[in-house]
Amino acid sequence: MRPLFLLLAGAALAAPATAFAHPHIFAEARLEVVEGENGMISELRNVWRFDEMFSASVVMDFDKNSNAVLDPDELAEVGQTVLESLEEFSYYTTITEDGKTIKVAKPDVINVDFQDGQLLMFFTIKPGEAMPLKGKLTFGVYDPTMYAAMDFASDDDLVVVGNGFSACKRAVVRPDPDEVLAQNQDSLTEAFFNDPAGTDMSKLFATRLELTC
Amino acid sequence: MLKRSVPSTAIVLALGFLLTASLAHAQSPLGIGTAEPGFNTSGIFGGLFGWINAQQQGFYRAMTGALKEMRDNPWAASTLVALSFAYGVFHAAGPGHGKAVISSYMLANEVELKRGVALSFLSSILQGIVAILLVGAAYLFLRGTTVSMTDATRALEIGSYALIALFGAWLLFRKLRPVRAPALDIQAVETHDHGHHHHHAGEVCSTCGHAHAPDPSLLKGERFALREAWSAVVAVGLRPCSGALIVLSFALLNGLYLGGMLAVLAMSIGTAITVSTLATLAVTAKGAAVRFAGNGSAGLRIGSAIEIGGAALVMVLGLLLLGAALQA
Repeated sequence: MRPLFLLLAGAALAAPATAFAHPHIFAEARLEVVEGENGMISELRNVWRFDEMFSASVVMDFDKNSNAVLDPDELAEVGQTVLESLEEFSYYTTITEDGKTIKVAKPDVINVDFQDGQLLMFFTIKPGEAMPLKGKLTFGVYDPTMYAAMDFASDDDLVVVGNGFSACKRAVVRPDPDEVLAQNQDSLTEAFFNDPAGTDMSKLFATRLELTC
Repeated sequence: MLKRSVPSTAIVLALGFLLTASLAHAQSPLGIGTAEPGFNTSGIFGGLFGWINAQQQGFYRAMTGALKEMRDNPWAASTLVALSFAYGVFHAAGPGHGKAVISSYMLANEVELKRGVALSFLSSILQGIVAILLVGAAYLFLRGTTVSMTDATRALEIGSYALIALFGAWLLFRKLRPVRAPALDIQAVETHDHGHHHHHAGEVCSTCGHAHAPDPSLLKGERFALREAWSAVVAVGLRPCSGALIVLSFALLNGLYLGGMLAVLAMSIGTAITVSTLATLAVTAKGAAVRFAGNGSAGLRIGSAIEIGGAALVMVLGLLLLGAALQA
C-alpha cells in the first residue's frame, strides 16, 4: 500500500507544476506568400521588427567598436548568428499542406537593419518541397518555445502575392486560447504524455494564414 | 524499513519529474540573449497557469512601457516601480527563481519560517544585484571583447545549475546517511564553535537507541546550517533573471541608470515575496502530512520521505538544467 501511495504522491507532485515561460521578445511581423511560375509557392517573405528592449540588448552584445550603434559589419554578424540559430526552429515558420507539415529550406541570408532603436530582420524562405496551389494550405510564423512573440498587427500583414491565389479562399485565423483549451480538453492530456515538449500544441494557439484552393 | 523504502521514494519522485520536465530550453532560439528554463506543460492546472502567464506578459509589457516613458518624464519612476514589483510577483511563479531549492532547504532543516523568508529575500536580491553587475560589466568592460553578454550570462547559468545540483546532492547525502554514534558528532560540532555553548548531551542520550530516523536536531549544528543556507542563496542568486537583463540593457543605453536599477530591485522584492510564500506553503504542507500520518514511526517516515524527495528533486532539477545549458 505504501509504495502505491508514494507512487501516486510522486505523480501528483510531478504533475504540471510550472507555468509556461513567457515571451521576452516582441516582434511585429509581416508575411508575404509568393506564387512562382507553374502555380507553385515559390517563397515566403518575412519582415520582423523587434521591440526596443530586445534591440538594446542586441546592441550590447554585438557592438564591437563600442560606439553604441550597430555598424554594417556588426549587423551582418547579427544576421549570421540568427541564421544559424533559428535553423533548429525552422525559422519560426510552420507550413502545412492538408495537415501534413512541410519542411523549409535554409535561407541564404537574413538581412538585418537598425532604425529608430528597433532591430529589423528581413529574409525569404523557400518550402523544402514543391507546393502546388491545391488543397488546404496553412502558414504560421511563431516561436514554439514562447520566448519571442511574433505579432501580426492586422490581418493585412499576412498577404498573398500572385494571380493564382484569386482562385483560393483566404482566411486569417487568430485562435482564442480559452476556446482552443476547451475544444481540445480530452486530447491535450493524452498528447501531453505522448509529447511532453508540447511543440505540437503551440501550433493550435498561433495566428495563421489559411488558404483553401 | 526506512532505508529500503526511502531510496525508492526518491527514485519515484525523480522519475515523475523527468516525465514532465521536457526540453529545458536554456538558450534563446535567436542565438541572442538567454531564456528562462522553459518546461512546456499543460493539463491539470492549465487554467491557473494560463492566467498567471497572461498576467506576467501584461505586466512585462506595462513595465517596459513605463521604462520607455521615463525617457521623456523622469517622474514615471513610481509607476515603473509598482509595475516591476507586480511583474516580479507573477514571474516568480514560473520556472527559475529558487522555489525548489529554498523549499527543499527549509524542509530538510526544519528551520523557522522566519529564516526561510529571509533566505528567499536574500537570494532574490542577489539575483537582482548579479543582473545589475553583469549588465554594468557588459557595458563598461565586455563591449568590444569576444565575451558577449550572452556568453557571460550562460557562464553564470551553468555555475548556478551546477551549484544547485551539488546542493541537492549534499542534502540527499545528509538525509540518507545512516545514524552515527551521537557522541562523536556532537563533539565535532562543539570543538569548533566559538561562543556557542549548546549542551546537546542530554537530548542525545534520551533519543539515541529509540529513533529509527536520523534526528534532525543531531544534524542541526548552528555553523553547519548557516553554511548550507549561504550555499542555497548563492546557488539560486547566481543566475540573473533574463527579464531584468533586457530591462537593464535598455535602461543603460538610454541613460536611465536609476530607473533601471529601481525596476530590478522592485522586481527582486516581488519575486522574493512569491518564493517565500511558496516555500512556506511547502513546509506547511509537509507539517500537515506528518500530522495526518499520526505520531510515531509512520509520521517520521513520511516526514523523511518528503525531505528526501525534496532533496532528490533539487538534485535532479539541477542536473537537468545543467545538461540542457551545456547542450545548447
